Amino acid sequence: MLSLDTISKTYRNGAHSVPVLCDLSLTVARGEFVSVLGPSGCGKTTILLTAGGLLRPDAGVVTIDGADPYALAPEDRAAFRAEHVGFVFQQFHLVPYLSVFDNVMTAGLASGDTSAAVRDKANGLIAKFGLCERSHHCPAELSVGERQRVALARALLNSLSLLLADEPTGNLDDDNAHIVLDTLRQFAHDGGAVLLVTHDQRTANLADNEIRL
Amino acid sequence: MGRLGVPLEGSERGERGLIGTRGEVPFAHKSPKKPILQPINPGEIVLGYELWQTMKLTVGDTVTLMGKDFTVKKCHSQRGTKDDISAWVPLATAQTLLKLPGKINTIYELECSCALADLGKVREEIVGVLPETQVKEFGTIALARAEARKKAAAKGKADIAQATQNGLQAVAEERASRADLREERERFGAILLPLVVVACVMWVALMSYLNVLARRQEIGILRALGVRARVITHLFVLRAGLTGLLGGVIGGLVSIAMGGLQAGPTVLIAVVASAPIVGIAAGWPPAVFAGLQDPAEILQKE
Repeated sequence: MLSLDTISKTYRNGAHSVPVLCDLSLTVARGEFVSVLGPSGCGKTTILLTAGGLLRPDAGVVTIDGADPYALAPEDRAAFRAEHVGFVFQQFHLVPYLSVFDNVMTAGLASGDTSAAVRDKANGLIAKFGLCERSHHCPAELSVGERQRVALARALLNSLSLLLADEPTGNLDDDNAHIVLDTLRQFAHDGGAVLLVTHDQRTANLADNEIRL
Repeated sequence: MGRLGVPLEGSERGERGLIGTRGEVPFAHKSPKKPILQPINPGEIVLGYELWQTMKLTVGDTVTLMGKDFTVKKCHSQRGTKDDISAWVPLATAQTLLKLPGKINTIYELECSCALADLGKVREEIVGVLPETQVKEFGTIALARAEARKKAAAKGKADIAQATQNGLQAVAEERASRADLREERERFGAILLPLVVVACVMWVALMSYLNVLARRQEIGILRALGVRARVITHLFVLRAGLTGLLGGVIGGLVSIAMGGLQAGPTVLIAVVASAPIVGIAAGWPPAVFAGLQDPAEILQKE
């Protein structure tokens, strides 16, 4: 499903350069939940962005569902991302002035499908994550756990094959962390692939496979 | 006005005269009417200056003339003419006293403006009716009056013409002044309008650019989710166009409130319609800039 083959990435800022990834390879198959464990600054987020088609590696090949997103034109790569890849971030990255429902529907905007069926699915996800009463609220009016659930609902709106999670439980209490991790496991169980990066050993232990940086 | 004038015998210089005068009747030749002005009533007498002076008479005194008593009605002031030694009584009274009933020897054509016409022709016509009539023209007075009237009429006409000319000239000057003012305004507008449009374009462009910077996080999120760059660009272009339209509508309303539709509704509609175009043109580069934002960079910074 997801394959990173000898990926290298170095950040350059003028005369300074910081090598982050060097010949990294990993694969995540369908139905697999893989965690990457490592301390802050070791390149976990870089792996995630590279795997998601957002950050072109200096070397190596990224393959998602058999296709190299970096071989596509930028606009096609965005469409590819909307169809195959979902993100869950530690900081949620919700649009602050949109309601819960509209934030979930931004995934529909990305895929170009805002039909009634998709809207119904959005409402179903909102209900699944216990946010019915908050559907018209903005992110600032939600608790931290509720915000992450909104981000999860947004990630699951499109029928994706790959879910990338960056410290999704970093700001959550245990109850909300369990909801998030259970959702990721269920996604993998349903045939998707999950790549989670974290610095928390307990979170990493919940994955099927663990990669330590 | 008909009258009977006779020198009175026994006067000191033999020149005192009695004048019987009739009231003035307009158009007397057409139909006899009651005089509109009765200079002397029956039983009254009007005395010239020298007469009342020498006889020490005054208004209201009784004087006997040719056996008939008269009450002095009026005493003329000195005129320096024969009037000073003349006495006036009603015409009928004079005709009775002089035993000349129905007779007159003078017709005064008062206030006659015949001098303006052909005087010779007038004289011929009078002699044709009254063959033995001596026609005298009191030239000095009549001509002076006629000339005065003529001059007054000519001056009046000239004044009217001059006033008309002045008025027309003033109107023409006002029109020219307004035309100059309008032309000056149009020249000023031709310079100011492009400057205002350029300033608006720059301002909208700056605002749009700042708006893109302020929304980088949302742009990064949407781009990470897979929203295409052109969709992001279109969103910002749409926003710039709506901002321009709103500005145009507000500007149009303010224009109407301040000065009415001086430039006409067509110009107003054109301005309001072109405002979104200006907004889109100004917002286009920042919108493209928004679409070019790197989501990975934004998310990493966030």
